[in-house]
Amino acid sequence: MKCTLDIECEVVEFLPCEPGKPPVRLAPDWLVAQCIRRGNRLFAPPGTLYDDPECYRLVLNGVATAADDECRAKDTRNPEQMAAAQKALKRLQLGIHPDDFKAFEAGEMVGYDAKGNSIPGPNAKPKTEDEE
Amino acid sequence: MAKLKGKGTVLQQTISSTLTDVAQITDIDISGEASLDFDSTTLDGGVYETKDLTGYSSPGTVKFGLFFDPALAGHQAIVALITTPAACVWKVKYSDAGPSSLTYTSAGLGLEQKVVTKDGLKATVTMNRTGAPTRA
Repeated sequence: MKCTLDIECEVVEFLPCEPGKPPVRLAPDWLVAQCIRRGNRLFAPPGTLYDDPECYRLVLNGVATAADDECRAKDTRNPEQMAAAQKALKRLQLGIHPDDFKAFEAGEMVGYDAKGNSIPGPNAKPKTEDEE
Repeated sequence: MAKLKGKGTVLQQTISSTLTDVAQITDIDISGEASLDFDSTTLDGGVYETKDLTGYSSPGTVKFGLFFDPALAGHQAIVALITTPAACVWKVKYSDAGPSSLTYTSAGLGLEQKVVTKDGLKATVTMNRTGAPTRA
């Protein structure tokens, strides 16, 4: 079963293990070969081809597109459901809290800074005197 | 030094070695991680009871609550760990800029659903962690 990644995702190369112990590989070589390394983390870029019996779950999660008939057959969503999954995924990746969904959709905020405060979006409302 | 908010924290599950976000989580409870000891008090000891370390540490458990959507692929991937038991690697990404993270492996996993009249369909997922975690 095959699919291609639509967005960059982090890949777990090795199972978590104690320092000093030999690491046990989780990600297969064919996947690692397509990845980009940043520091000690591994990222699969958009376009990464997966050949794995479980990869249809990436498609259903909205992060990948089916690349063969076997994978396409697992995706029974209608276009509306696909669009909803993509929209939800974007919010999810940014960790948007349900209380802020409305503001995020309206472009009033685009995420959170390191302190957890909202980062103003292109449609951010000007701050009132009380907020400043 | 920083006081991090819970808001913005993300739990990720590996699917085909790739971390994908779990949606609609309301709370995460990481507990039970501890170095283990035993009571080493002896009859000829002093006044105070004593403890010695066993040399082992308990990896503990992770429990999280979520608005459960049985049709959502991400939630189905969690249920799949019960129908087809398998270890799975998870990552908690905290809300700081790094972001700091805790990566761990789950062994046994449980799912409890709660259906009530005055709330959405909720579930609690409990996982026993196994082995050492990776903190970054």
